[in-house]
Amino acid sequence: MTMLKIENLRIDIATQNGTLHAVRGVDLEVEKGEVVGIVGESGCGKSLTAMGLLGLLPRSAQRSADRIRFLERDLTKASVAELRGIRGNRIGMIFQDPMTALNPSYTIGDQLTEGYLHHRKTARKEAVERAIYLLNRTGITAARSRLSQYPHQLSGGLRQRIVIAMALMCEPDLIIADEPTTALDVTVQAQILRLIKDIQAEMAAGVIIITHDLGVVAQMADRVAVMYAGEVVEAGPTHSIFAAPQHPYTIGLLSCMPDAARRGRLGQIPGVVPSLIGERKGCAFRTRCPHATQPCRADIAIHRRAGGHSWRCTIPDQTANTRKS
Amino acid sequence: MTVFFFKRLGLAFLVALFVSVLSFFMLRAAGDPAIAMAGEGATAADIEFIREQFGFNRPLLMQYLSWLGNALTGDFGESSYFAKPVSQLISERLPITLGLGVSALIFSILLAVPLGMLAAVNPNSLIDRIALSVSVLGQAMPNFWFALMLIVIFSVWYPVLPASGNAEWRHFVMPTIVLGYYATPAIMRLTRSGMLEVLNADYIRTAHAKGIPASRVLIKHAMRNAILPVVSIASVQFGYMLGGSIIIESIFALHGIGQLAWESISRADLPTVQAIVLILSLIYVGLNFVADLVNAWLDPRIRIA
Repeated sequence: MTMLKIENLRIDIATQNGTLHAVRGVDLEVEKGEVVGIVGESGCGKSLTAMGLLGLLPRSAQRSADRIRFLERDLTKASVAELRGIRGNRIGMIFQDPMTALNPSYTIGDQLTEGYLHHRKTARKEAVERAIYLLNRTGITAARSRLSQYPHQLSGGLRQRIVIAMALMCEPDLIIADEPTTALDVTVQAQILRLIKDIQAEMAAGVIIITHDLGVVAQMADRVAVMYAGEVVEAGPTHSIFAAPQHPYTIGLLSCMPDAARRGRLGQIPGVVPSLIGERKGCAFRTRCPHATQPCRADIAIHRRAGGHSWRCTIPDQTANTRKS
Repeated sequence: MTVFFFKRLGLAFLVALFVSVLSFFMLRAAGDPAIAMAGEGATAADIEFIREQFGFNRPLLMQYLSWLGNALTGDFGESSYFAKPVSQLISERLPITLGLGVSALIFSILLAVPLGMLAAVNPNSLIDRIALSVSVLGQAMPNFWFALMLIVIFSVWYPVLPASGNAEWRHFVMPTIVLGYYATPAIMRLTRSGMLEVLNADYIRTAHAKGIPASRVLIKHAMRNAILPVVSIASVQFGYMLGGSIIIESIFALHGIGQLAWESISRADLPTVQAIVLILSLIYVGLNFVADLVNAWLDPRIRIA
């Protein structure tokens, strides 16, 4: 069952130099119980896509979309009050930096139970029990005594577990994890990813995991959407993307991944990301693409293959090129 | 928190002691008190007599210690001009100044904090511009001129408020507005900038992501963190008000401690001046101590220091 279907999401940001089109017509689907990874470099619009879905955008940003269907509701038509009823309740957010995502002035217990008390209108005792259950579940020892502690008294790994527990308080149908491990030590990263994966399976929730790390995607996601300069350039099942990438950008990204079995120089993509200010025609990647030709300046058709693999390129099948490069 | 409390208390005590030393010795350094008290046309014998009577011929350190010892018991000596105990003078006058200061502080906080918050929530909007004008005006307008304008409008053209005296609350309305408005710009700008900074913090986004109402996010999550510097500046402003009320008290003929200070300085009434300087400084030290405690209560991170 498709729980989330985003159609043609666009996010524009007004700047002094003109309108910056940060997200340019993104389509995204999440099935129930599925983990979808969004990968791309910083500034490609992956976080904005997730924030835009919840209406959590900065004041200067403007969102438009044909449809954002979430559990039989169209979020583009939802009122502010309806959106607040969904946030934290049906959709939980896990933020990137656990050092700043928690309010320094309130205890862990207060911040954990706050959303639950608001959405469920229950007694405090029940909310506290739920918080303790989730702290235990996220691997925090001495859970009950943690509730009266403040964020500055805890380590980064612990705080990220608390941020995760906070997102899970109301048993959301969809969890959005925005770079959940980027700010953490490598040793803690794997534990946190394992935890998110386990909990997702246990709760049968849908997950959108946003990351620039292909390793995270390979470990976590059922499906992947690769974003470049505000567009989804390639999307499909994780195994298919990793085994037979079609878009030159995806191929480039994969060649940048360290691989113990492969010797020689690590790949890199030459050039820089194009400016997002103003409208653009043709392929966004053509300035950095080794296969760019004249047709790349025109509108690009989307190729679709059985199994849900799709990409946006003038070359119908890159498999031959993959071997060459 | 208990450790923090006693640390701060100890610090406040040390500062108070230092202030008493400074206020005593600096006033002595300003000139020979016996000559000043004897006044013009006094003979050498008169001056010598005063020196003898008030103990100015003793070693300075002894004078300080006996002054401090008496001050601790609430005895500041006798005013040479009013011929009354200084402690009595001060207990008559201080409530008026404190009342004025407290009401002015409340007035400026009630004006500045909501205005600063509204300005921060809607930056560059009409309300932000209005807030900016209010604060620029408060900064630029000399308060004696503002006081005179208020008197012209509300006592002369439309006689609704009394221009002088301190008999009932109506006498305090205009002085409160003048003194309070003077402190408004600093408090408002600080509220606005603190609030703007906090509103961009990640934890505000976290709070919105929980789906709680926007007003709760603003008041619970944002204001508590934004108000910290405001607490500090408000206590400093209150200290300024106690000092700055000298001008306001003379304009509105309020017989407060500011006016007493002015009178006793111009009459070289050393015991009174010394007592006033000490008491105002102690109030200042006390305020800072209270502000520290309030901040520690608001922000758990401060409590460790």
